[in-house]
Amino acid sequence: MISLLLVFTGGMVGAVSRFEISRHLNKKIPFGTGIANFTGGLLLGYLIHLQSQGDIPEWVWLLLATGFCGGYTTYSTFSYEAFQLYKEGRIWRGVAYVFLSIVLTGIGIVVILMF
Amino acid sequence: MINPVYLAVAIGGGIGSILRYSLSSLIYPISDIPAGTLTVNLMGCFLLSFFYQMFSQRLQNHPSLQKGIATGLIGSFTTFSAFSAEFVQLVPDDLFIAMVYLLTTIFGGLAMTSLGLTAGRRSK
Repeated sequence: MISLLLVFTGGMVGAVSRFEISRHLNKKIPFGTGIANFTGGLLLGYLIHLQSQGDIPEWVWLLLATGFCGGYTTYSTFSYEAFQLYKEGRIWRGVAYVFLSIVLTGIGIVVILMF
Repeated sequence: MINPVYLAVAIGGGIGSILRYSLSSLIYPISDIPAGTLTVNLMGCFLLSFFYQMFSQRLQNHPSLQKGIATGLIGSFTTFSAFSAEFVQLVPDDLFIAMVYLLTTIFGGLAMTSLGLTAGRRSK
C-alpha cells in the first residue's frame, strides 16, 4: 500500500512537470515532450548509477524512478507526435524527432552509467 | 486556488503511474526483452490516439477531463525513461535483442497509434 502511495506521489509531480514544460515549449516540433523525455531519462540513468554503487532505499526508487521519472516521461505522446508529423508530410522532421530523442537520451544515460 | 486542469493532470498522472507499476511488474521479460514496459507503452499508444480521436471534440469544453486523461492518466501510464534505460542496458549484453526491443517499441508504437486513430474514428 505504501509503495503505491510513493508511486502515486512521484507520478503526480512528474505528470504536472511534463504538462507545464509541454505547455510552454511544444511548438512546431514537440520540444517540450522531447526535453521531458531527455531529462527524465538522464535522471533515471543517474538513479540506476546510484543503485549500482550501493543500495538506494526501495522507497526512493519507487518515488523517484518508478513514480517521478515514469510519470514525467511519456511514450504515448511521443509516438502520437511522431505519427502526426508523418501524417502532415513532415516525414524528416518526424524521423529526426524519434531518432534524436532516442539517441541523445541513450547517449546521456550511457555517459552517466560510465562515470 | 489551484487550477483544476493541474489538479486533473496530477491525479491522472498518479493513477496512470500506479497502473503502469502494477501491470508492468506482473509481466516478466520474454527472452530478456522487457515485456512489461513494452506492453504498457504499446497499450498507451493505442489508448491515447483512440481517446483523442473519439473524445477530443466532445470534451472541448472540459479541458480538465481531457488533460487529466490524455496528459495525466495515459501520459504517465507510458514511459520513455524506462524504455531508454532498458535499451541502453541491453546493448552490451545482446545487441540483437536490444535492436528487437528498440524497433518493436518504435514501429509497434506507431502502428498502435495508427490503429487507435482508426478505431476511434469508427466508434465515434
